[in-house]
Amino acid sequence: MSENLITCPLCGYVFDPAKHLACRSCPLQKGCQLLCCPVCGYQMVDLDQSVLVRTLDKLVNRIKNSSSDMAK
Amino acid sequence: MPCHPSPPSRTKSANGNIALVGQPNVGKSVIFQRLTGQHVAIANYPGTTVEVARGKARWFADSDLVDTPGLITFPPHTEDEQVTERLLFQEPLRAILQVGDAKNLRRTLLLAVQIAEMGLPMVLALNMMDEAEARGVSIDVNLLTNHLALPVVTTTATRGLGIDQIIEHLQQASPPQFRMTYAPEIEGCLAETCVALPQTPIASRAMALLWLSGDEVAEKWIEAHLPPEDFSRLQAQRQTMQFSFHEPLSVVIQKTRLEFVDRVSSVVILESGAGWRGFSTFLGDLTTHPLWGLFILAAVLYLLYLFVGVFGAGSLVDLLETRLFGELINPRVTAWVQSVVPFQFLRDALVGQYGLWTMGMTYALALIMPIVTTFFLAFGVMEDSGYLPRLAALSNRLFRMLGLNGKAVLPMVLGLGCVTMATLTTRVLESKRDRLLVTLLLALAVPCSAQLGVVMGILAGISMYATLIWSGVILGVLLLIGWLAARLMPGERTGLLVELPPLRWPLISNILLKTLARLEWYLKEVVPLFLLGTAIMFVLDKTGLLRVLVGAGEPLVTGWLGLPPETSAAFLMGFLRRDFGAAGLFIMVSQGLLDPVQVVVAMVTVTLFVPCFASVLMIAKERGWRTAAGMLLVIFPLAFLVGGLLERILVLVGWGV
Repeated sequence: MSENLITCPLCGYVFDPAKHLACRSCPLQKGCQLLCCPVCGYQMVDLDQSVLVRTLDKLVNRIKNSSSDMAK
Repeated sequence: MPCHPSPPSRTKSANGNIALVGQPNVGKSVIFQRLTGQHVAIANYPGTTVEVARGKARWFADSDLVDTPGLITFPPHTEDEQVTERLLFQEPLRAILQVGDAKNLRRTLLLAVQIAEMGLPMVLALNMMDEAEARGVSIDVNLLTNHLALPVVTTTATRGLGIDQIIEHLQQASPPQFRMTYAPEIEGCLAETCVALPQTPIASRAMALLWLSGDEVAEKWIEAHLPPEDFSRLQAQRQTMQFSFHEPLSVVIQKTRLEFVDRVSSVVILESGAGWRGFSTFLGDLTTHPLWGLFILAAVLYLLYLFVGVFGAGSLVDLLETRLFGELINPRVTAWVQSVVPFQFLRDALVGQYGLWTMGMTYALALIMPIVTTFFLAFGVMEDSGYLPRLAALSNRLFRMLGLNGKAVLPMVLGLGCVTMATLTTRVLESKRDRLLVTLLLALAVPCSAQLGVVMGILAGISMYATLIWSGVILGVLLLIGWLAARLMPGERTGLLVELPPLRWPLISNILLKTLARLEWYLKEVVPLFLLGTAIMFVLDKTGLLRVLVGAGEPLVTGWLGLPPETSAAFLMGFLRRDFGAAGLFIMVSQGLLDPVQVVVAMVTVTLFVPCFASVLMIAKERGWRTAAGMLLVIFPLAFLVGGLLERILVLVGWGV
């Protein structure tokens, strides 16, 4: 089971996004970057799939590392 | 004859297993590890793809501990939850250990009473006690034990606290003496059902409650254990019972449990200090109040209007569309294309009136993106603050007053995110009538987040009253069609069950990340559609078909709606996506081609169009092409009818003059 559980902002159901439970019945799943709650169907963005978020993460980490290096 | 909690067919067996049951994310897995150690086997539950972990229970010889998938409440909604219920029916059990979140006692108790009713030996562990205490919540465990008539222990599994007490109570666990008394009519139904049931693996009264609530797993079990004629008789009996109630039996039963849970929670939860939590609870209650909830909703919408409409569509669009694109980027791009591209046709295709850059990309980046960015930010705040489920609960009350199904609210609220996906989620509705009705309402009058942002942004440029008129008309159409359909197609109503998390301050960093990811989705999904729409408009323009279509639409657009003939082109774009059409109208507004009445009329008409081409495909896939075509035949004439009537009313009352 993945440690990365997601709580649906609409119905409160906690689920493992790695299982893609709601995607099986969706005709738009190919190339989809969104997550769907398996209980109510609420759609949310998958932060792990977003190129922009990953790039920003890397940038922030690089800045943090360089500032901690400078502090040393 | 009362239905006594007759014991299950399986009595406590010394060498049976222990089922670990609980809602998702309550720390079950940590307790599982504490009780089993390293020897864990994970396998799919027979006939499913759902994983169930089993481990040797360290303090019980010959007993396995079975970690079941998270279960919110009965009846189960997902395959995972159904596996948990099937396991409770089929597994030889010496006890059930329910793990609950001490911070969310109400939710935990709702499940606890349902498990206790099953009559199997049980222990309730209230986990995450450290987090509850950090929030100023303590629980009177002795009082709770008395109310539930079963052993209750508090634990902080991550630190190993309370594990010894769990083991101690599990060793002595016996069937709980808990019994919930329902309304006399329900008790009557239970008595009749219990008599007709075969010997059951859980208390017959619990099985009868599941049966009356329409629980699929219980139904299948009963069907498999009764002769077909007895099963049919039981079904007919349940149907007859339902006629005596205005609400579904499942709702009536659950309401009684909720009342009990509320009563017990109010006496066993000892909160220290008011502080933010006290205020948050107070505010949370207000947001779902039938009267105050509406005032809060109005305030939320007003803030949304100021942020998205005035700031996003006003200041940001002015900065991007007029100054950045209009004065800096587009003149340079146009000059460059004119000098580099030798063919006039290609130059027009790129930077002409219907050029891919000057129309498609400029609409997407300079016009729509600032508006949807502000809307996504605001929507993120609504999601992370816990307001969204409260909005669903509040809308549920309004919808029920109209005679609509409570469950219908979820797809409608989801429609604010994406109507195409919301159409897919109408599958959660039980009856064909509800699925059809909600699909129609979604296609007709629920704009998705991007479209809502654009429409609100444009209307905010006119006045607050323009936004109010538009909202009033769209809401009016939604409620009127819903009310009419509910009268014409009466059907069984089912309840809405959403988890209301505590109202809390959202994390700014999380909202920013979500907005960034949503914008990426928007750019990938919507920009190609805008470019396609622009290309179609370009071809129509070059072949002269656009003039023909605009001419054909003139009696309707100019004669009936009172709009300039050029609006037909924006409406054509609106067939592809509402916000694309709205963007075309935005340009006309900024060019001074529409007066306030015409803006409101055009916006109402375009909002009542189908949301986008993808949603039409989804309707056709889910409901069939004939239904989709029928809906389009209703939606488009209705959109123009409402738009024309509104124009006459606004002119008659002299609004906008």
